[in-house]
Amino acid sequence: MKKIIAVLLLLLLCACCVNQIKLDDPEYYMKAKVIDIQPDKFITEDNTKIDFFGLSASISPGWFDKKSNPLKTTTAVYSKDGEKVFLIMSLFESEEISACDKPVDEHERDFCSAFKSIQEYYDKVWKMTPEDLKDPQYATRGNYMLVLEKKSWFTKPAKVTAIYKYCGTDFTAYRRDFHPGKDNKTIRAELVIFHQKIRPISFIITSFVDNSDELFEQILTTIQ
Amino acid sequence: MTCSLDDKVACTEVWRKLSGEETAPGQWNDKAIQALVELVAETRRCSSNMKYVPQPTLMPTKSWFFKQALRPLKDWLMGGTATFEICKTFRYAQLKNIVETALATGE
Repeated sequence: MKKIIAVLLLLLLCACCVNQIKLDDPEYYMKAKVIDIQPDKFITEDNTKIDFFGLSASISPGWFDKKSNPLKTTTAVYSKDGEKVFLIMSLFESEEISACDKPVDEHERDFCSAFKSIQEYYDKVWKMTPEDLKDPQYATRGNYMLVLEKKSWFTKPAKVTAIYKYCGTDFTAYRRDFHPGKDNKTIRAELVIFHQKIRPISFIITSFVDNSDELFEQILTTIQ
Repeated sequence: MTCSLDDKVACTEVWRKLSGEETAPGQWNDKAIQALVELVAETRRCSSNMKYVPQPTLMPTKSWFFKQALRPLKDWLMGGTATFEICKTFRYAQLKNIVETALATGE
């Protein structure tokens, strides 16, 4: 009888092990490079001012020749010579996730317990790795789930080649750079910005050009 | 796969549930539908991961979407728990710009 119970327990243990998702893929180990942003005081008159969600930024002339809102007012498409250069669209309108107010079961409860705000979610997904889960203070089921989130975030809609966290005086931003697609119309990089001045609203800037670095730097150093 | 008008109407229902936004069936071009297929596939994958269930190899295609993924999503639309709200929230945040770009520009 004891042998039967031992075998059953062993089978149960093996079943649980088989069902565990292993954190082997390189995406789980991506960690954002943190960059401090200093405001740029050398904004010239030639620069083009762009306005979005109560904020503005100043970028060098020539990035775009047309701004349109083909879908809705909260999505602006900036294009040049008929080709889209970048988009700015709203993301979240609150700091908390409504689904976390009433978790349906222990899975959602554990997931929601790992972060108190949407920005904290991004911070953990961008910075936490399986190595951090070895530390007892981070070894929670919720944090494990957030590390699992990295697989989706850093492979869809395309494979991510680099991630960054930008820290400004009154904003934090998270960036994903994507592997180039087959044509030059695919997304190249994306920047999610949380700015204190318009809190709790957050927004995304999506770039379709190779020199996203330059575009994002100009926006982040002049945003106000 | 050529999408029927009913398929495109289904896309408007799914997108309304995900984003709260109304769209017309005619707006759902091939690129937008493919982006929505990807978003739904990732939402399903997230929901399964929450329960630590191993994932079968999932190749999201329009055919898979309309035959196999849409039904559980419709259950969820009616209040079922086939897909977690939290997965919907973050997969939408992750991929909305792809869907909206396709809806806005067809690219």
